[in-house]
Amino acid sequence: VPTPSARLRRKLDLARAAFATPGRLLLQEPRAQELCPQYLAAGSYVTLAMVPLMETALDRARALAVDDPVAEGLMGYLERHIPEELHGGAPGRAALDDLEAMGVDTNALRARPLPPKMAALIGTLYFWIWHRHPVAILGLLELEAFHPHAQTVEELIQKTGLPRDGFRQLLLHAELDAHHAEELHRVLDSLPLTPEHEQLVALSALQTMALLIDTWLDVVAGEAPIAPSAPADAGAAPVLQP
Amino acid sequence: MSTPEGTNLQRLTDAGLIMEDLPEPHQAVVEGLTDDEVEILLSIRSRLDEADKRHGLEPPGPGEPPGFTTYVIF
Repeated sequence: VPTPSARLRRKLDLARAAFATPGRLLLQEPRAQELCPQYLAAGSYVTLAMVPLMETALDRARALAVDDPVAEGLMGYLERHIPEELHGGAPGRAALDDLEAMGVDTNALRARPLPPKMAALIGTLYFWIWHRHPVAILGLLELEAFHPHAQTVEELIQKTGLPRDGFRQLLLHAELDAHHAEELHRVLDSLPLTPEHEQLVALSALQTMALLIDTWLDVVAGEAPIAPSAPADAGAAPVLQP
Repeated sequence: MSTPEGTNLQRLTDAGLIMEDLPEPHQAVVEGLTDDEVEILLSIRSRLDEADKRHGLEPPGPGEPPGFTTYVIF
């Protein structure tokens, strides 16, 4: 397997079917309408942490860049990519807007303790970025290759009857992330990665997949209430489609 | 499918993570996985087995692309 990006894809292929499994279960679940906001709220912790994690990786890459060509190349990529992820707004704001359209109290979501597996995911990534190498961020970003697909987002809207406004970012990223993933593969193949760098990127991606799968399966099993509902008088209660 | 005993390929095949013969270059990638990578993959398999007992999992459809039902924004 000739390139780092191809080797990474081969590794993640081993978890590909598993990564899609919780979503398929959600689509089959009779309580999909009740569970969907919980499911999307669980994943939103990664969405909300993504830009801060990239900014941390950028800070570390700048500090290392003088005598580390991988950090230097990573710095250039992150300086271009972070503004793309902001979409002209505050980090994660658009995802929060979508959750609020489904009736999730996003103030409470951010104020209460994180689900332990999401805290482990975000904390591990911070730790590796600081104490191993900032290239660890590319493992998280590689998961943009596992972007949602418009067809199955439409199926979820239909199945749940939840307001379409709650799915705007999923539909947008069904298009955007495919391009981001292609760019990331070009970056991976342009950096002078050692086997240790490649292992860290793969470990970061696999760990992220494992903890998301675990959390989503808890949600689908009804074992992990994550998203508090907005108070009825806050005007953010879900409006169901006819 | 027969694989050499004690290899990554065998461990992942025994766990049901590899269901078919892989091309040689892909086998080399699997054999190059670190113990940490293998352990994470096995933990994913174990978690899915639990879910299978509860829900009865169906395999993905043929040609299903990566992330087909992955509802998360990266």
